[in-house]
Amino acid sequence: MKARVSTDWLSGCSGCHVAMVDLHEKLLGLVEEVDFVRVPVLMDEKNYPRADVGVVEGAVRSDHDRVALEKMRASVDKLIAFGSCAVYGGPSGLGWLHEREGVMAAIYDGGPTNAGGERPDSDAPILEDSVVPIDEVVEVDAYLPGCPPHPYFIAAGLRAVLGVSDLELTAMSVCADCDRKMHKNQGAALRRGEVTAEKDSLCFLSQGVVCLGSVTLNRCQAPCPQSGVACFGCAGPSVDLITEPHLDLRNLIGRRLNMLTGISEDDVTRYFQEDAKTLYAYAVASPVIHGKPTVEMRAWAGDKPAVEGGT
Amino acid sequence: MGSRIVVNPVTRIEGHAKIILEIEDSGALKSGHMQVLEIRGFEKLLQGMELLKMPQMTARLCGVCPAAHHLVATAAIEQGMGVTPPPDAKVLRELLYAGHVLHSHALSNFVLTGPDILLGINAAADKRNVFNLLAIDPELSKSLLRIRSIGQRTVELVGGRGVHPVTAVPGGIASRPSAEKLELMAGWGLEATALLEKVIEVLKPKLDELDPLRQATQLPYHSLALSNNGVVDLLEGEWVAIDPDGHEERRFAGPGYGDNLIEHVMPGSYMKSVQLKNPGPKNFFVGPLARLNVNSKMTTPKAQAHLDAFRASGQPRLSAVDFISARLIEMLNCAERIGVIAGGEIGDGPLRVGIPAVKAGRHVGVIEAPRGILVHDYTTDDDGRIATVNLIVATQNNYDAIDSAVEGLARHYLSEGDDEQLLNGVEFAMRCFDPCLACATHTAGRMPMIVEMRRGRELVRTIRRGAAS
Ligand code: SF4
Ligand code: SF4
Ligand code: SF4
Repeated sequence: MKARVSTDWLSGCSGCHVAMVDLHEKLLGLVEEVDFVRVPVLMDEKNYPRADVGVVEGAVRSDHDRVALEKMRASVDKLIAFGSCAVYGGPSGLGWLHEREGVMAAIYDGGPTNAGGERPDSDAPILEDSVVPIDEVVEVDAYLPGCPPHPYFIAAGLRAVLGVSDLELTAMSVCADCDRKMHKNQGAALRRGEVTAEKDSLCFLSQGVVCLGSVTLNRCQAPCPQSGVACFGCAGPSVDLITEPHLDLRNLIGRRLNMLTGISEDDVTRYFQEDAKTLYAYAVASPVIHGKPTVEMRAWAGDKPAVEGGT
Repeated sequence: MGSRIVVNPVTRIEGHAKIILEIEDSGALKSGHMQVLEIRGFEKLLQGMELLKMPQMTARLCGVCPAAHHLVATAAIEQGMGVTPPPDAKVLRELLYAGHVLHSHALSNFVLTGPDILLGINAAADKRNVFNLLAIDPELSKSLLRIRSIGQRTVELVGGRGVHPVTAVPGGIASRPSAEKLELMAGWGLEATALLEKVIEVLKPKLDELDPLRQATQLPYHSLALSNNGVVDLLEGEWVAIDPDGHEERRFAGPGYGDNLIEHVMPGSYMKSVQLKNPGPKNFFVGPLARLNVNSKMTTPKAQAHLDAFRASGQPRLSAVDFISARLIEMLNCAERIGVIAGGEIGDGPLRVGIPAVKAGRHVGVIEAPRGILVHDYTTDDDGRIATVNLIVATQNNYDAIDSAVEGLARHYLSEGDDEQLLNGVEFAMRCFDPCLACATHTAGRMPMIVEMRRGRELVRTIRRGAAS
């Protein structure tokens, strides 16, 4: 019997599902190995048929998401949190920083074209007070972060969960797949806000540009630094950051930048706090990040009071 | 009083939605309406972020058309700074975008709507999908998927990634693909062109068979698109509106959109609709069909020949079903351009120009997303962070047109009394527009399929595929 796979999407961008289609020819191989019983973007199955594995994209933003997620959980043996939104909240999780009414006002009031003062009526699903990763609502068996994960890891992850292969998913950081060389380059200045650098063979950090490759889990094969753009951490924190609460990106990057260029660690730390919303964008809604004793995410970037224990 | 039919969730579109049909006591259709059920609120989420990171960050608005957000964000910042990227950067962005539009249109026409066209709207629900298409006609299906792959792989080679490309930066582009990669893409361009010519031949008679649906989804609306002196140009041009008779109604430059458009909240929905104003309100549609109604020229010979034939049979074309044909012509254009650009239009000049420090100001970008005109409008504070954001996305622009097409097909199928056909008919109406709700509400989602039949506010009947309600 072929294994049955069911997928769903909550508050995300559908990019994780498109990444699945980006298995290209390999998708056809996968179609031969497993039975897709529910894939809302591709099929007309509207219910939650019984499946061995459920794959969920997106975070939980509305009551609609919560109900769908619970139905999905009840219909599958194993559940994969698929992509950074499901695992950490991802970009959708930025909503965790804000009051709901502030979000609504930014959408429906002001600006050059809004009629203003209008709100969706009660027929629209109710937005929950905050946004949470899916494991705050249901139990999750496997995590596959990435925004989206590279198709290579999608295939590997699915096979591992299905037990077809025991291929290890690497625990390395993005640097592992980056060819740039970390060399000392004393005197390089901190280049806030920038994503490119002069030299293609030299590590971004050596050139004063903040690259999050060393603090980000490799679920992408380092496409950004390999094509000239500093990593901005879209797959979420590296394993050391996940397992050791006292470590934080800003200190680790500060130390590395200081070693390579002489830039002061304090300048880097200040930059990360002032621009926390950009630099922590992909995992703010996760306790892995906002639960760290040294991180005050809502104070740095939000407008909601910090609450003990998170959401 | 009347009753109301709801379709929830609508599947095979990109996002969460449901459809409401208001029914009169007589059983006749009063109105059809799509509701969008999700919202992420990027207007708020982007506030306070670094302006220069918008090209990478806003790609996450939508996994189906990330390249459109990536490039319009770049264009917005350049507009605000008064910076022009060097020629090589421009042509590389065009290559990236040709790959993107090829992928996006292929996803819509083949993977999502393909089963309706090739297997028929009346095919059983559990058969009407791309997996079954693969089983029935593997050769054709594989060509269709191959065309999408070529588009998406082109994005990956130029943009660094397929979903959420990263290389466009204010002032230019971060890297140049190697000579081997360019050669590969040049070959893909030719391959996709040849495949498309065959696929168009296969699809043409199938699309002709849809004539009753074409008649049922006529939109007496304006067409709104960018025009570069009459040429379809996805990345540059003025806004031009033509009326349903084909006469130019207005024309204005990018940042002037605030004087010409107005957004309103729609019942039960997070997505806002947009109308023309001053004078207005007037309904319009955007997207591939609007582009081919507004413009008469294309940049490549094969696409031009198809466009001439398309325009010869009556102009402007106003049916939702014609969106599918328009997409095919644009795909051919993209495939041809991939071959030509990768085959020799990229020089070895500089890839970036310097940009000034970010200051307080306004940055407005306008491009044609695959689904139609897309606006990113940012204001920044003195520290160069985002203060406010206005986003107008293609699917929003088509909201009224989608409702009108849904009504058209609901009316068509209601008389036949078959729930299953009604469900798929109204879904098909939406799919013609390739509505991308991830973008539209700066959300995403699962596509619902409930049709709710309502009498006033009272829910009379829910048709849900598979289960009783
Ligand atoms: S993780 Fe990234 S690609 Fe996946 S749904 Fe979230 S934003 Fe989209
Ligand atoms: S920090 Fe960035 S540029 Fe440097 S090696 Fe790691 S991924 Fe590459
Ligand atoms: S290199 Fe960094 S930003 Fe790029 S895909 Fe990987 S994790 Fe995301």
